[in-house]
Amino acid sequence: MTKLLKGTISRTIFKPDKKPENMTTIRESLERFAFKKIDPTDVRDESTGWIDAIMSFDSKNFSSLMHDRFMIFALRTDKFSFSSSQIRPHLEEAEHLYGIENNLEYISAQQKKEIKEQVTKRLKVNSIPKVTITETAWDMETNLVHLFSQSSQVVVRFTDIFEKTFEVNLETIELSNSIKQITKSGKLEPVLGKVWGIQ
Amino acid sequence: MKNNQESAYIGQEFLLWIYWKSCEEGTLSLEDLGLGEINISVEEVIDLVSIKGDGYSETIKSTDIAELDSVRESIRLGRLPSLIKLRIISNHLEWFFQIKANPFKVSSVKLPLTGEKDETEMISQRLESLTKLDLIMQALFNTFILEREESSFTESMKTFLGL
Repeated sequence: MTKLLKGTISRTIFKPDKKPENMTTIRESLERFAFKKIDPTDVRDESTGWIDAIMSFDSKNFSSLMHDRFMIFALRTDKFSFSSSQIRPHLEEAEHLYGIENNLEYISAQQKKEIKEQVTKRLKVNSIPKVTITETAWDMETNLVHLFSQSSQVVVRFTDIFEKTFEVNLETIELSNSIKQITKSGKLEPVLGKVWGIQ
Repeated sequence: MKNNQESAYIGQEFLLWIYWKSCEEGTLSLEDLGLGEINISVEEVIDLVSIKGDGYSETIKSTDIAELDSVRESIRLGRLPSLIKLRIISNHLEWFFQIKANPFKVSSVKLPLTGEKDETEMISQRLESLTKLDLIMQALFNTFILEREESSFTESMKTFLGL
């Protein structure tokens, strides 16, 4: 279920350098970078794009987009990945059979690479990708974007696609950003050392 | 903040300040910032890390951290909070979450119950309460920075800790 409805929340907050002109622009932008399902036979192992925040299968209508002053949508990434221990028995079996069929004692590195590609393809066809969905809420009043994740991988992926989608630059917003405005010098020296007499 | 070192000590200082306030008053007035009175309480867990370079760290778990003498004693010995769980109550709304000093971040926020059955209303209320929490946290942090700038800050903290 979407984190917009249930569960604890961890966020990363961004400020884009500009706001979209209107709803139509937002919809068109999201559609341009909408999520596309990845086919197991595809050479790509990963697909990333925007989906509706409530109906994770919808990457066309974005019917839940507007929520008061917020635009809500989500980033979906489907990824096929196999650990070396998952691949190992299939790979060793394929190499063993290849050696017998071709009467080979030694298999070249190039041939091993090709066998591995075939094994990975076969595993992809027989499995489903790992899905990651991360909700996003764009506050049109404050122009702050709330990404419901603090994972560095998700943050990097999100920043990249968001900046491309809306043709903006994102600045990360942190609590400590206000130091510059509050203090005269914009810099702080540690005070804890003074309390415990440590330099 | 670009300097990681600066970010780390500001986070620790802020967590210590929050602990201090939760022990002393528990109630803070953010009236000047239009947020009224808020109640803060460090609960369930506090991680303490030594600033003396001896590598000491400990995790203390209790329903009411502020009441424990062992926490204050440990801080007195130069072990500062690196993580706390904080409950904030404002205007009958209640948030419970974790703050880490480094990286200086709020996470795992449990939002006030909405009591709504309609999904649209529920989403709106959850988003509203998130932005309200952001305002409160920013106001708390700014209050801390302003207090920290006062010349009496270090002495007041020493008095609180009994140093």
